[in-house]
Amino acid sequence: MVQKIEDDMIFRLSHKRSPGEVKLKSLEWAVVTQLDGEKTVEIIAEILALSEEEKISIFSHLLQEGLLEYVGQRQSRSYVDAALLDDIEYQFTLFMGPVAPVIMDEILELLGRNRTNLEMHQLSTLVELLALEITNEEKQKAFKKEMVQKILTVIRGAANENV
Amino acid sequence: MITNHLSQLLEVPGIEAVLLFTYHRKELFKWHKAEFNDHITQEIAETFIQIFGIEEKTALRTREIAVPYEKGIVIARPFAKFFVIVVGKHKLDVPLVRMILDVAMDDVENDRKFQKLIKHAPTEKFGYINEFNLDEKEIAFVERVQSGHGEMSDGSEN
Repeated sequence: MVQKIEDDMIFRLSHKRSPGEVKLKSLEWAVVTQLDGEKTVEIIAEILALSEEEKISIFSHLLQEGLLEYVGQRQSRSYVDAALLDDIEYQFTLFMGPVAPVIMDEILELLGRNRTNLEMHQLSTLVELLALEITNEEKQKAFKKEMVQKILTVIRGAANENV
Repeated sequence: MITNHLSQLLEVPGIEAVLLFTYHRKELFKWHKAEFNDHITQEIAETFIQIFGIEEKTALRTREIAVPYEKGIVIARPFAKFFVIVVGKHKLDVPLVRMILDVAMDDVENDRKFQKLIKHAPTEKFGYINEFNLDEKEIAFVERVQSGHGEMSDGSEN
């Protein structure tokens, strides 16, 4: 029995009760349309741009009304490898100079992360924000080109592991 | 030709379709998963021709439009003679797609064969939106924009 809504939780629409039987607000309907048994609470909230408060109150209400069926929790989070972050920092330093590590730490902080807990799905956001710090358009593009290759290599590696 | 430049984009997990169209609906490139057909891709393209067409008559200059829909997200970017559309699932890594577009679309634009392909494509956008089936409200809006009474502003006072 789910006691508390958590970001990693995954729900699908319950077969026991139809949303039509309950009076739902438009945002609650929006959440209902997103329930697919794959997306986490966190992802649905991101898609619908829900505030923390909205997220908790909507999911709690839907749960209370018996509309949610708990599927499970997302498997372990995957974090960006420290060696990859070092490599990104090295490349960024080539374009930004010695201030690069400081900027990188600031952006990690902005993302609510540090060098040990950056999640894989945040890697591109980090790189995009780093690139924005490079004011020279050509250099910015060169950095992005380099980084895209690195990110795709990681994606390919993860895909091979899953085969 | 275009596939080579966009190969990295097609590798991104969650990509469902990548389309390049001119503003008069000529298809320049199309790659999509099985659930998309010609009718759907044309419909998506026409939607953005209308958006970019109207925008041409306003002070707005959009660099990119990203619209979530029930099954995912659609990203569109206008260029002088054509536009690109990327359709992806919810899990799509949007910052990665954006970075690939930044790099790859430059390569596409600089490709000589591609330049030849779009040599005679119009840069004018607004003229091509009237061909489509617009509803009454849309027709009224287009007429207002055309007559200069319905222009949207960028918020600044002229």
